[in-house]
Amino acid sequence: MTAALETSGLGKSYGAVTALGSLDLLIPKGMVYGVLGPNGAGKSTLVRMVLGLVAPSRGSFQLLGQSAIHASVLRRVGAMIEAPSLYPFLTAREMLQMAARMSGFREAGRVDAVLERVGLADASSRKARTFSMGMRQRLALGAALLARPELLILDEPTNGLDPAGIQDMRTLVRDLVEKDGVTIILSSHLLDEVEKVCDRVAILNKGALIAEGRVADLVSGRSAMFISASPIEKALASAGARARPQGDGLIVDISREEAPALIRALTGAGIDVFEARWLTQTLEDVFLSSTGAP
Amino acid sequence: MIGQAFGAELFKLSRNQWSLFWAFGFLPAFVLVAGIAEETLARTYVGDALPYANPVRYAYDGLGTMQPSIFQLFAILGAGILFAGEYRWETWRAILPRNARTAIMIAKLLLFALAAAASILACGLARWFVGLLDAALTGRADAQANSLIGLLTGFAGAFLQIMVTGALTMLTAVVSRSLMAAIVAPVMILVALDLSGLRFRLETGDPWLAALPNFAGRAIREAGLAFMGEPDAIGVHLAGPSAMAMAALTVLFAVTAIVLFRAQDLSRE
Repeated sequence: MTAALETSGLGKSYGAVTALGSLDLLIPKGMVYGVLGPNGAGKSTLVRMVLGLVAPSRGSFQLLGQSAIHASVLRRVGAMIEAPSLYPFLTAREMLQMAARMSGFREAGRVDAVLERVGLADASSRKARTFSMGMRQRLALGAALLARPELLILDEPTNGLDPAGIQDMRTLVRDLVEKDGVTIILSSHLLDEVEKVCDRVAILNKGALIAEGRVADLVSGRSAMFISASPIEKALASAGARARPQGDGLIVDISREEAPALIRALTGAGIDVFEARWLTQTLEDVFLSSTGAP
Repeated sequence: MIGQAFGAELFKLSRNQWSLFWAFGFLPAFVLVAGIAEETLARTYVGDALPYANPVRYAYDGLGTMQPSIFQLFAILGAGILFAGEYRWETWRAILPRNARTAIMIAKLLLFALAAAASILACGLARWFVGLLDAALTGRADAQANSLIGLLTGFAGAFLQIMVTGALTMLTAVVSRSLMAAIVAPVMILVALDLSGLRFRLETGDPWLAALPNFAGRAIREAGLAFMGEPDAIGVHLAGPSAMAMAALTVLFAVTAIVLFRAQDLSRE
């Protein structure tokens, strides 16, 4: 089974500035793959190279199994990158009709179905210039979905959406993967969103890949337990170098298997243990610790 | 690919009605209204200066409406919208993944050619209508100088000249990535060419004048006049080289634009 996207030493430089260093990445088909990173990490550069908008300075990549990137491959990809890209003088319906003509895509009723799916059926005759940011975002998504893509690339898809719209987007993304078999590459700063919808993530920083894996594995990579105990000094001494004070207790970096022995040791040493709970790590914690952000 | 891109570009331009009117529709409308006003005023204040009118000669003059630089501004506006509009609206990223870069640029150039040709023909028709009005009021139409070859030659001169301008606008749009620059730069070049008309004369018959679109266009129009029986046509021998020079300039500008565009990084449109 071919990957949706496979990069090998892929990079881009603008003069002395390196936008993307040398990226080795494999994005399997059939999942939502998150690409995370702070501003300037190289996410948009990666997407633009994949879509043929920017030529790589080094390395290579295969998109849907094809190394030569031309329109026949790109027509199997739907993309919504950065701010919605719309013609102000076209209505929502005309925008989709134009996109279909440009792609050579013909399917009766598809434009209406897409307008319905992205919630713009009632605004189909309005010019794009009158749209709110959220509506523009929905229309750009509709254009990306129009030609039934195998791979969908979404860059900050929830920008400008209200809470209901964000919920709709989350449902749509999961439906596309689970019901329609679409592979989705999702770039976002909303880590909570990514954690909820993505199966795997890659974290980029300053043009380099610094972490990659299943979301569940990344957030469970660091295991720590908070223990409320007294006297605290005696508990710290008993737990050893793995422990540090935190409020009225201590945090101990231990694995799940070590926990019962530690608690037995504390109580055996005459220390009162009032509470012991695992500290769950969010993707935001992983992101911040990986990128070195404060 | 080119056919699909042409269909999409045609659809897009047909929906951009304000730009479509000012770029390609205003001039024919102006020619018609100004011609009717001219006839009305002339008859009111001067009277019937000539006892006959020739609608075909009127049409011939109408076909050349776009040749002065000031009137080419409208076509430059149209070309600017076609070629630089994608940079202005940051829409290259919306269409490039759907079609090939070369196909889209060729489709845009073909659409410009179609729209410019329609606009030139509409100017000719508008002026022909004014000629018919004149003939009706005069009561006599001059049957002389009705040469289809002459009309076609006049059309070809105007069309080739406007295509050079369109291709130049295409090139400046790609290089500058700016709608404003894509319009201003060709206008400045046309003004410079017009100023050269103060120093050089087609009457001299210098062969190198065929390389300047304003002289080349006029040489072809003069050849058209000769076909229509005009005895005082000048520089007719330059018509052939002028046509070839303008076709070559159009191809040169367009191919350069396409080559540059194919290699252009669109990290930001």
